[in-house]
Parts: sequence; C-alpha cells; structure tokens
Amino acid sequence: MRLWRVVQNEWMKLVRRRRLAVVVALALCLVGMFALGEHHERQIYSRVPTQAEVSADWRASAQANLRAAEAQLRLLKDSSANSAGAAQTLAELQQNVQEDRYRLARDVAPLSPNLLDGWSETSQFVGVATKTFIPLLVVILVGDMVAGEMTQGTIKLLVVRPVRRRTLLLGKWLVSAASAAALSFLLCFAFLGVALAIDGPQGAMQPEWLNIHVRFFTQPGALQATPVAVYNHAVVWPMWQAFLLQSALVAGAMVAVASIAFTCSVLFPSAMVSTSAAMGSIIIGFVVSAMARGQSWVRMLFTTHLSLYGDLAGGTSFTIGSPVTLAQGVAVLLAWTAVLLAASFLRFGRQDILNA
Amino acid sequence: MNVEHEGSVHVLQLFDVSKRIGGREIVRQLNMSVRAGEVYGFLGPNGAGKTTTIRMIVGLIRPTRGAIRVCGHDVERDPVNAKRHLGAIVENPEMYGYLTGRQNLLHYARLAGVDHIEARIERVAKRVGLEDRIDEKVKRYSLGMRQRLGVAQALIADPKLLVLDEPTNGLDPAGIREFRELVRALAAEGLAVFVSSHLLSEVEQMCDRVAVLQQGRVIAEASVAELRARAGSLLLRVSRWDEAASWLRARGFDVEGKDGRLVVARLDDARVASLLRDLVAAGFDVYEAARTGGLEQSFLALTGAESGGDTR
Repeated sequence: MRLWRVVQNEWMKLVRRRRLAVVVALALCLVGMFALGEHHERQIYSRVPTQAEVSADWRASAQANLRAAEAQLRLLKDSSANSAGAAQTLAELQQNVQEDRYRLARDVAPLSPNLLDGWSETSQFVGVATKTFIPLLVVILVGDMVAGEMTQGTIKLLVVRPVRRRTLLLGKWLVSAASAAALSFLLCFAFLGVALAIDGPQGAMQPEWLNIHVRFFTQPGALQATPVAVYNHAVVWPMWQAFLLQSALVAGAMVAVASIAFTCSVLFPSAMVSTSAAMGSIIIGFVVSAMARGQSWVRMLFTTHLSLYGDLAGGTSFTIGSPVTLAQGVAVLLAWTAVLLAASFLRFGRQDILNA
Repeated sequence: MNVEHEGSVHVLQLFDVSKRIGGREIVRQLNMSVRAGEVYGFLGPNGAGKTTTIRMIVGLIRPTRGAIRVCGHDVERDPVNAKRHLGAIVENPEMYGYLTGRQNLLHYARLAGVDHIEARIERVAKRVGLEDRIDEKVKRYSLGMRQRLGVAQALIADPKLLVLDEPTNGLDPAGIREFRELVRALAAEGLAVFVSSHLLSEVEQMCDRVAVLQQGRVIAEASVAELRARAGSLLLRVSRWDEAASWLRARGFDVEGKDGRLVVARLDDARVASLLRDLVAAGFDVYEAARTGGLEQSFLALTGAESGGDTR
C-alpha cells in the first residue's frame, strides 16, 4: 500500500521532469537518423536493376534443394566435424534444410534479392542500438533518481515521512526499471514503424534462426580461433515473432542498465556525477568488451550482454570471440543487478543525510 | 500501555542522545522532553549542533548513542509509527519546482498516509493562505510563498509534533510575525512545537520553554517566563536623578546615571517592586520605569560570557 503510493509519487515526478522531455527528444532524433539511413539505403537499392522476381514455382525448387541437402547430410552424418571447414559445411547444410522446411511448411516465399526487408533492417539496427544509444537514453532518464533529490535537498522531506527508507528506494527503483523497459520497448517499435513505412511491410514471415550455438576451432597457424555457428539446436521463427522477443529482451537488458544507473545515483550524491559515472561505466564496459576479444572474462561484463538477442542468435559469440548463450547472458545481467541493488539498499538504508 | 501513556504527555523525548561524526562529537548526551501544547525553543549559535539534533529527531541521521521517541515510538526502531505524527521543516523546505503546490502537497500526503487527501490539501492550503496560488508551479513562487508551502507540507498529516529548523530564516519582519502567530495558534490547538533558532529575540517571543545548546551540550534549560522574571535591568527617569542615584547606591543597588536617566542592573521582580516603593516613599517622583534585557541577561548569567556574542 505504502509502496504503491511511493510508486505513484515517483511516476508523477518522472513524467513531469524536464529530463523526460530531453530523453524523448533524443529518442526522436535517433528514430529520425534511422529513418534517414533507411531512406538512403532504399535509394541505393532502387538504382540496382530489378532482378528476376521470385518465380511462382519456388516450392518445387525448394523441395529439390531440401532433398539434395538432406541426402548430403546423411552422407556427412558419420564423419564428425572436427575442423572448421567441415563444421562450416555441415552448418550450411543444416541451415538450408531448416530454411526449406520452414518455407514449405508455412508457405513462405523467399523475398526477391533486391528488395529491402524492413524487419531484418530494424532487427540489426536494434542489435547495435541496444549496446550504445538506448543505454545512454536510459541513463539520462534515471541516472539522477536519488542523486537529484540529494542535490536539490528534496530528499529531506521524503525521508521524514512515515515510510521506511527501503520502501522509498524500492518504489524509486520500480519506477526506474519500468520506465527504462517501457522507453526501450516503445523505441524498438518506433524503429520498426519507420522502417516498415520506408521499406514496405514485406519480411514479417521470413525465417529467423534462434538458439544458435557457436563453436570455436583452433587451427594450426591461425592466431585466433575460428567461430562456426552450429545449428544442431537452432529453431526457426517468423521474423515478426523474433522481433517481438528481441524487443522484450532489449527491455529486460535496459532494466539492468537502469539498475546500474540507479545504483550510481545512490552512491554519488551529485546528480551530475552520478549520471556521468553511469554513462562512463557503460562506455568503458563497451570499449573493454570490444578490446578484450577472446578473453573468457569478457563474458562476465554486463556490457557484453546488452544485446541479449545477440546471445540467442549467435551474434554476441562472434563479437566477443568466445561462446555464450542466452541463459548465461541473463544470469550475468541478473547477477550485476542483484549485487548493485543490494549495495544501494545497504547504502541508502544506513546513510546519514547530512547536507542535502 | 505505559509507553502510550507517556507519549500522550511527552510528545518528544530525547534520552542521552549523542552523535559522533568522523571522530568529532557533534552532540553530547542530550536529554530533552517536549509536552503537548508547548513551544520548545532550541537556542544556540551556528555550529552548536542544532541542525544535527533536528536531523536526528526526524530520522535523517542516526544517533551514535541514545534514543529519541516521538509519541512514545522510537524513531530508529519504529520509524513508521514515530513519524506518523511528525511534521517538519528542515532548513529551507526544498520542494519540487517542476510540480505545482498542489502536486507537492499531494506527493507528501500520499507518503504520510493521509485519508481524504483532496480535502486535507484544501484545508492546509487555506490555513497558510496559499489557496489562490496552489495550482501554480512552485518554481514561480516567491521565498515567502515557499515558506508557506513548507508549513503546509509539515501540517499535511495533522501532526502532534512540529519540528522547525530555523524557520524564519529569510523571512521579512511581517512574515516572521505572521509565522510566530501561526506557531502560537498551533500550540494553542495542542501541538507540540520544537523550534531551533540562533536568535534570542525570536525564542523569547515564540517559546514557552527554551534549552540552550553550546558545543553540542545543553548548558541550560528553563521556562521563558521564569527567565524573564529572574533578572534584568531597570531603566528609571526620576526627579533629582543624581541625588536618587547616590541614594540607591547607598542601599547597595548597582546604579549608573546619565542625562537624567538611571539604569539599575541585575534585578528580579521582587527587588524591582521594593525599589520602586522605597523610591517613592523617600520623596522621589518616578516619571518612567522600564525593564530591559531581562532574558538576555538571564542567559548571560546562565551560560557564562562566552555565549553572549553569538546568541544575540
């Protein structure tokens, strides 16, 4: 009951602060930039001479391909894939089989090759944005949740109320997490809307592979291990469904980012310092996880898993040079969130508010 | 049961409260109690530990040792019940400038667990004279209006104890006077008011009892009426003033005479009465007699000379 009242209050303050307007303006800029990029790409594509439309009898060719690939797979089955090349061949065959089966079962014709696909364009862009732009927006939105009240002195009149400090903090965190999740989820659909408006609605049913594992093969003479996607456990989803999942995962990852920013706002009493600290930790984490490619501890950084969808679709493993799964990514983000939140509750519960 | 009973008499109690920050003892072994309907002044120079004490009472700071009870509930162990009947202004009442006055009050009323919030907001807004501007954003309020809103938020939960930290800082004389009247009216309704100040005159005009804090210790506590009666000087205008001065000196009074005026130092009520009687009986005409600086001198006597410079 008291918690609900705290949440109501925090929500009222969040939506009326100028910060929200700034964040929305920046988000709109981002959507605008994406739209511009898509428009540009579409113009380039339109210069390419139109290639053959997908023939009406794509089913026949798909069936033929499927039979050939299945036959080849049966031949390869006995030989184990213990080199990168062999694994690559196997993976391509498996992928072909899975794609053809999906198309035939759901009656999904392939898109013609010179047609832009708004769905997959958006999915790719969101994969990049969730590691860079969206976390920064989240930090701006909630990076002074507690520090702002410390700086302005309004924390005093909050703490003198008959509400426990942990209830106040929990309410503030709930609003931070919910607003970060809502912001990022809505932003994903804003990107999608723009892309579909520019590129057209096609592509919603195209196949998308999830749960791809990545194996790394060390080859004599090669400096780095070669990553190969393994499709043994892969599942094929229609793109729209995969995008929905991706947006939800972005929202989840942004809850973790909001928690990190929130902790900074508890630990640093100045609004500016706390926002900068949160922003800095995300940028530094991003740089470190990109630079320390191939080190196994990179998996433990929260910035590695900001694109949880990449963990699921194999992209993250390729980026960091070591295998990760969605479960690991979620576990890492949860662990960071739990530890940091515990620190902020301990700190805020015991802190003497001396000169706010 | 006992606790509840105690709470009904003593709204605020401090038991041996000490606070140490970074090896320095800011506040040492404070013992105070404030009754319902009483305005309790907490007087001391800046840096004596007034704000630290107030922040401990309202739960912003934890005491290193000792206990604080509001209406019988320990502020540290049972903060929800202790703060239910507490209203406070801690230094400047900073509000959310981007919200309206009404939204600010709504915000605090929700946290205080007030029922019938809308009606309550109307009532406190009216009480502090803010009902016309209540729907304006606080960032457009003047300092005086912010202070009123500060009082309104302190009263929002219908408190039994009002804790005010230097409440008249930054107010103009009219505002101070208005504020003083409000505090007296609230005490008359049965509220206990704990008010800190570094101004002796303010405490004298507003409070029933006063504690003097110096370097973290309460060095004196007394009722204001008692202090006022206890000592002071008497300003006299009489006929044949030089003659009267030597007459008084002969009787052991401490007299200074200048330009037809006499100042007789260190007198309590009884001695003033007998002096005037004897003076008239001895054939001097008394044109004017006025007591001055009663409280101030009492304080100087109570606290020793060192506090004189700070507690004007």
